[in-house]
Amino acid sequence: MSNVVIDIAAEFTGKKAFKQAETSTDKLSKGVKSLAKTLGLAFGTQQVLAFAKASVKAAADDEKAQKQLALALKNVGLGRDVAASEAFIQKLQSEFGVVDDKLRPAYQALAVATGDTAQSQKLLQIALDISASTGKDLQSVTGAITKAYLGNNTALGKLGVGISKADLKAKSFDEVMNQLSDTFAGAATASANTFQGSMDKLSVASANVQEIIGKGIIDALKGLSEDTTVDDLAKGMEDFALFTADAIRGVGVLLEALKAIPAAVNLPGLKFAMQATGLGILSKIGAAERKKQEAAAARATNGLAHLAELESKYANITLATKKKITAQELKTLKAKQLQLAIDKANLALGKSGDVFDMEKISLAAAERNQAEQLGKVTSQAQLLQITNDLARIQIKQSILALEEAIASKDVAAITAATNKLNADLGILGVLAGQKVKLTEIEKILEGMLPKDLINLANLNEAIRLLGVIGAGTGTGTVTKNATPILGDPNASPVGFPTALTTAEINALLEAGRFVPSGGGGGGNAGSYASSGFPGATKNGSMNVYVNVNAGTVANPEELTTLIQDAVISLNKRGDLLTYAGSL
Amino acid sequence: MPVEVRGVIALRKALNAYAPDLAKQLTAEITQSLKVIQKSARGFVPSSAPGGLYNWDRRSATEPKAFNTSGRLRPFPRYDAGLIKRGIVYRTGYGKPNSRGFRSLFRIKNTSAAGMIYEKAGRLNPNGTGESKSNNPNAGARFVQQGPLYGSKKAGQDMRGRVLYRAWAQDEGKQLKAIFDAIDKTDKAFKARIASGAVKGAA
Repeated sequence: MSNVVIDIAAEFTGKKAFKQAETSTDKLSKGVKSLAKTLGLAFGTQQVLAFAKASVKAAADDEKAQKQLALALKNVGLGRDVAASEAFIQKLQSEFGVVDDKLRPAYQALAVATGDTAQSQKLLQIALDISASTGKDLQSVTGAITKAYLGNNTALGKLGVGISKADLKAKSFDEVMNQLSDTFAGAATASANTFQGSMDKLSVASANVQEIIGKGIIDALKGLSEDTTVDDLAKGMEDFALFTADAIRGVGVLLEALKAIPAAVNLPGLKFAMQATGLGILSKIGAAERKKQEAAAARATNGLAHLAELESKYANITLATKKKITAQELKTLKAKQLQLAIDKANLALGKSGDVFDMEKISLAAAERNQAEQLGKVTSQAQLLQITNDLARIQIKQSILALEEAIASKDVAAITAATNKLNADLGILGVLAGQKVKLTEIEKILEGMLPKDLINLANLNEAIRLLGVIGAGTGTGTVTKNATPILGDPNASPVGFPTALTTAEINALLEAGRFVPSGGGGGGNAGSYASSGFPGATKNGSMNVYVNVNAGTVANPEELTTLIQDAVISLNKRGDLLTYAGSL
Repeated sequence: MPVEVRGVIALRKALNAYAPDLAKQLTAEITQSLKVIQKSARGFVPSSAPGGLYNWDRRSATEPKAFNTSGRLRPFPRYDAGLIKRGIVYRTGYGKPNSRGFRSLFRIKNTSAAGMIYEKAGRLNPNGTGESKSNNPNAGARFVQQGPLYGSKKAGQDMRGRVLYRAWAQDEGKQLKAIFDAIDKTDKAFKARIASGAVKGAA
């Protein structure tokens, strides 16, 4: 099935197009080659230009390496030794034929690791010896020594320098280095004195020449154009190269002309002729300018070294001050953190108090449940029952509040909680259709006060009253408010106080303390026969009734609530009902 | 017949390399035109099998799970409007050159089997071929006469159809102009950017 496709636009890029392109490229290549042949003479200028560019690059790289080394030394506190270090590197370079491009990184690594100029120079000297003797490159050897200085001897062992693992473990770094110094002493010097060493020295000199020429070109072009942009500098370089090439060609023509004069074919004459040319004059001017710049650079280096020293001192003082300030700030911060932690802990404790107050939670849940049930009532009886339950929950909450108030020993809070409880009890009483007898909460408050229960005065008074009542021979009188003391209920009322007057006895009777049985009194004062007082029975047959006041007789729901409350209360106090090890 | 253009691939490569924002913009503008065609084509797809061919409709409940492959590679594709609509797609990337060395730059496709049948049925034999095995001698004609064919038939290329070709015949001129205007505009913007030096290395 052919596809249903609408090509909106297409472009021809098939094989034919590639062939055309290839042919065109071939033609272009051939054209370029013939052009090159035609312009063969121009390559001389191009080569000069390439050399100039390479020289400038070499000078720039050298300057960059110098600055990097200076910066690294300054960063490790060796800023004052920059000039000395550079001089040491130049000395090694000319002595051993190792280019400074290799020496600088090696020296930098050692200086950063040791932080000591003398130690770095000594180690670099040893590294050069090892490198010359073993054939390993300087970077590897320096890396191994650096690691060994920092405590890692593995790389040094792998260099194959004749140190056993036992020695590496047992000996200190200085001992190992002394051993290496003895082993490889003079290797670098010996190597430099060989033919290869001489070639290396020449190579180093050549590289230095390139750098020097490059630096000269940069200085000259900068001075001429007073423009530091790269484009202008490149243009200047091209112009300079063209000019130089022309000048060299001119010198060649001049020398050819001199050769034609027989007396002029000797070296002094040639030297004279060279000096007489414009190039010789330019060379003299350039040399003078170079010396000036070198002197200025030396002054600048010394000044920079002094400045670096001052900077180092200032930096140390500043660092110490900063450390002090930082320590104080740290202390303050720690104190704040501690306070914050305490605040958080208190907050959490408060929250946990709310969370784990199971009694309150249970009551709130019960209240919520009753409120939900309230919305589902279908009869008056249910409504009354739920209202009763809600009133009981309110009472329970009020009791809890009162307990907390009592625990806090806040009189105002206790009074308020008492009033609330009384009000709730009143509500419940109305709901239950029964008379409510309120508890006298004030007595609880009084009970909280410390009582002096036993003292000598109380004891003496009690003994005296006992004597009066028991023997009937006492001479004292019983006060109105004296507490009645129960005797044997079966005993005859012997010794009843006779000192009481009729009016006093009547007053006592009115106060309900003595109520005769069968007197029709009844009421709240109770029965005389059941009072247990002497003489309660006149005919000897006395019945004794004991009423046990067990508080409110609870219905099953109230009893369940009470048990639940008791369990919750026990749990709250940590007195768990579960045995140890239970889940 | 696609319009033959030159330099668009090179332009898009250059845009991708030096001005990705312009490349994105060009693609978005071309896509906008292609979407118009796509939307229009999807609108020409009937919701149920056309021409009263109700037995061609797909019934997922009665569709056989396995197919007896004797004599045929796969069951005859059922008509499914959703599948056909989903199969109408556009592409903006240039692919491989065809046998004649042309590379398609932008295209719209009707890729589903049922969509292709509905698109092209009756182009070759509007009255059927009589090769149908049905007892109804007019079954072939009945099937291919699903509706009129829109578009034109030119030498070498039949551009008639009921869905995609219909949409293309309807909007061809407008959308082609929009696409090539977009290419021209982007080309000019890119050249202006090069001239102003904002695009380095593109000269």
